[in-house]
Amino acid sequence: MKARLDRLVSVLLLVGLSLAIALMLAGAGLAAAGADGGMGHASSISDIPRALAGLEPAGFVDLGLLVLLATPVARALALLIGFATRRAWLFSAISLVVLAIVALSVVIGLRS
Amino acid sequence: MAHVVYLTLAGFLGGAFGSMVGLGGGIFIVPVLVLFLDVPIHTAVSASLLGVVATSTTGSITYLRQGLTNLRLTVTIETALSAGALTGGIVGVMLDKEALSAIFGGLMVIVAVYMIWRRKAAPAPLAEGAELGRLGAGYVDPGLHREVTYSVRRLPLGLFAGLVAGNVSGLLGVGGGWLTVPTLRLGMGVPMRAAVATSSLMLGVTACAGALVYLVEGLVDPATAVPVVLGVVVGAVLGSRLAARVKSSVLVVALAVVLLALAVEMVLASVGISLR
Repeated sequence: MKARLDRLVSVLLLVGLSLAIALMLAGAGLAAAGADGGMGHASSISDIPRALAGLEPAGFVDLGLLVLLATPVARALALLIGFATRRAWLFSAISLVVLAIVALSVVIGLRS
Repeated sequence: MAHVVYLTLAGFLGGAFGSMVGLGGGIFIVPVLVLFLDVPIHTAVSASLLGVVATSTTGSITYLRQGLTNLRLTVTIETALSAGALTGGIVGVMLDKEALSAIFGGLMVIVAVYMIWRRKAAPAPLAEGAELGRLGAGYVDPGLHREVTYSVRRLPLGLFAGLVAGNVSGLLGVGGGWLTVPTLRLGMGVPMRAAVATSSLMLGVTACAGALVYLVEGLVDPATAVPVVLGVVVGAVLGSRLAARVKSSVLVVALAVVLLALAVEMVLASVGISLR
């Protein structure tokens, strides 16, 4: 049971990390092939889809960095679900607390 | 181009060493970026936080496959670690940063010396059929080629250490592994390999909240962050695999040396000499 959850989390981390690296490399490749060679930033997170559609390096790099940061959060969510499906309610609740604190940290960080 | 290579190399070394001893690598990456590569401090800190997430994620993939990570203990200590990081800003307003640097620098020296002194003292083996408890676990030690089981002692101590480590990480810009690994190892009876693996997984969630704020605020410089992250990933793959081939006592000494170096930096900072 433990080994299965370990494997599940390991695969999740691998998928998230691989996707993030692929996007960052794509962004770096496009930047190197571009005229100014710079990566820059999408002006906001909501601007990323437009930058991706226009094959702008910033869209790929920013999405890659977002995927990288979302991976540990997805891991915490996976543990919440994983513990719940194993009826380890205490640890499922603890995982929920961790996710809530991280969400609160982000909200406070953005407001300050 | 040479600058990109140096950034990648800094990330590689931080990722390799950080993943070997259960740290994020930020204590290495930030000073190198600022001192040797002329990267502005905020850019260096944001790249370092992303690097910590990458070290944690990459190292944990290997450690989870090896069955070394204690997931129940991870989420339990993570509550204190993330709460500590959240309250770090509040405490920072109330306390003098120089005094804090001196206190934690001194604490690190004590922890490092104690770790070296006790480097060969393995946690007491569990008796046949003994209860592991809710947080206990086991793994097959790649060095000893046998199963090692352990129960977790003094949980309140671990939660307190997590709270302090999270708090300091928010205050002084260092990761929490410097305190969580020694506490898990020496205070809670967790074997060194499991302590490194468990601490490694914990650090990702704590760092990602801070890094996300930097990213959304546009304070991440992709030209710096991307080479560092790519270097970290390659380094952490190597470091986490190398950790299985190195004796636990060697990992303990390596961590103690890093702690001593960080302690010197903090004590110097307390008297106004900044290396960053």
